Amino acid sequence: MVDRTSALNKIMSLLKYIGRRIVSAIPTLILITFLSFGLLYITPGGPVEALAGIFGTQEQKERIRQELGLNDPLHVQYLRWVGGVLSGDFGEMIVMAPGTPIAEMLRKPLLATFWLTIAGALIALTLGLAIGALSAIKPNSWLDSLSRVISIATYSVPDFWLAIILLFVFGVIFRYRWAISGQIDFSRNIVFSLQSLILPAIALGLAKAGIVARITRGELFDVQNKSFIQFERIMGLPRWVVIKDMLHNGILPIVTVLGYTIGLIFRGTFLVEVVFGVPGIGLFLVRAAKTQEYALLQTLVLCIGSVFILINLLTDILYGVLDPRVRS
Amino acid sequence: MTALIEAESVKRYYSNASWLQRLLFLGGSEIQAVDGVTLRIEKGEIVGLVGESGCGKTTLGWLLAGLEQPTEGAVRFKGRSLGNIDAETRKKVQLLFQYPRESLNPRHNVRTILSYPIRKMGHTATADITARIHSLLEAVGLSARYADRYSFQLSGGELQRVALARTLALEPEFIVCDEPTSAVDMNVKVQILKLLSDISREKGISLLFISHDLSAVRFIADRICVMYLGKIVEQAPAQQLFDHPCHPYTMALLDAIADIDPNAIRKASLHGQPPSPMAPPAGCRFHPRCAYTEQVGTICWERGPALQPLSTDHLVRCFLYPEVSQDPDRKQ
Repeated sequence: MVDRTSALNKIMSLLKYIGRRIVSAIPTLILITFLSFGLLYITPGGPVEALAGIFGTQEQKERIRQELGLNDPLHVQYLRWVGGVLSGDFGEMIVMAPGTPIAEMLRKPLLATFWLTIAGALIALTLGLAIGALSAIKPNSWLDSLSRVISIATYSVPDFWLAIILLFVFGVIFRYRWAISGQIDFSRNIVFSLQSLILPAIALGLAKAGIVARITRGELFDVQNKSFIQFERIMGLPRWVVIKDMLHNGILPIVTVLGYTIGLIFRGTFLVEVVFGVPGIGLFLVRAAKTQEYALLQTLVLCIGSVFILINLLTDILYGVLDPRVRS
Repeated sequence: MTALIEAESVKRYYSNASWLQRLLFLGGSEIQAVDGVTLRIEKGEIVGLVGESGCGKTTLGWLLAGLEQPTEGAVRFKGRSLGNIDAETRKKVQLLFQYPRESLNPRHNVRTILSYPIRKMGHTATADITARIHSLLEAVGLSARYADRYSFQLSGGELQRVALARTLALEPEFIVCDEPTSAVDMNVKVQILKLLSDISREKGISLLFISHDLSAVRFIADRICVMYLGKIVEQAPAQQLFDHPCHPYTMALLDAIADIDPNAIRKASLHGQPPSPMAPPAGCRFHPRCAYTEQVGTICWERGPALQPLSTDHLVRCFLYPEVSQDPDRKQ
């Protein structure tokens, strides 16, 4: 259907576009390293106070400084830290579990939060797309009205509130053990982890499914009335080709909202983790801030920032894949 | 002899009741977009359809293209109802859309857009498809370079040419052209009209050319139908319609374009907006705006006129002419 040369051109321009997007994400990433490194100097107290205790003498504090390399010039400290990060060394824990490498410490919480985000996003995506598509097919039907009500209801409700209600209903009233365990660790027990994932994921996903549904409905409704879709219909193309082209054209705003929604869900996990007691990075973040575990805090801020950059980058790349106007 | 395509007392009503209204039996109002149109188009003939916005001309076009199903009456292509025709014959009836930018998929380049109908016609070899794309582009006056462009890289006229090429790929026998020149500028308009009429003559394709632009219709059409509020009020060969308009509405339309001289006395100028198709006037639908009502008398708002011939090929729907009798349709 497409000449080899034109297919090649398409791939080349797409690769160039992806390259440009990646390069333009780098300055943001550098900015985030500045911010997370700067945290150390903005926050009061710090590791020295924490280690030396209230009765620590000036000499003791000086020795700790020397050991941690805090007396070196700022740029040396920064470069040392960035160098470590680039080689996978994020430093060590000082207060909570002295001597443990942070990378090891964070592995499990990051995984738990990752699965929670993915599960929440999947729920938001499937529910949102399905409800949106159904109401676009029959606009102004009772189905459309019902889905509008449900959508508005779900996106008006905060995810942590939904989490508390779910916890109350399934944990307190029905007394399901899996509902409240919060133990999401796939290396230990897959079935149990999946069960523990259900309620937090529903709390996260349901609250965002409404937005996805509304956008999907609007876009598909617009597209199915476009002349080129009607032409494909009277031409007698197979139904799946028409639906494919409809989705291809209506999906861009949906992609934008999805990227944004996944970001929101990721952020939402912090609170929902606290409600369900999931040992994810949300709980970790709170503890790191309380105990002034500065290297951990830096790493977490860096991770969270990078996740948002990554989501945006993927959204941008998807744009390029889907829309020839963006590529060129 | 059966016409290539014919509409017989075709009606299309739209209900604007919501599901809640329907549930409570409140039934909203009904829009009579097309109200009893009979029209025959012969092979190779170009018929112009003119009228103000909202008079139902696009709906009639969609009915003839099979994009809409009539509420009453039937549309027949070569004597067979469009509703239950086989897919092969169905492709012979096509539509050229009003907004060229919306009628081409913005995610595909011209090559892919054209390859859809070419494949649909059963040509699958890559070399064959490429050759056909080039000959189609050539037929609509575009060079082969255009194959790798996307719709956002094309001008309005070029878009309409690609849209036409895409339609021609299906080898249609009848094309409904829904205001194809309303979105392009003057010189492009002339080019497109010439292209359409050349292609029609060359391949013997019949056209229904829908427009509110009388000069465009005059340029291209063999026969013209004038539509007002869902009904055809006058139908005549193009030249005759322009030389001897008979219906007061046609006179007013022609008057509106012919008067370049500001001092000319307007014989039948048109005032106000057309009435709502949700509540069309009783009797003749044109009577509230007609300049001849007083002359003809109360019959104009008491009864509706039928579309009847003044001569063999000149039909008119007006009591101004004694030949015209009352419309048997009860709804008048």
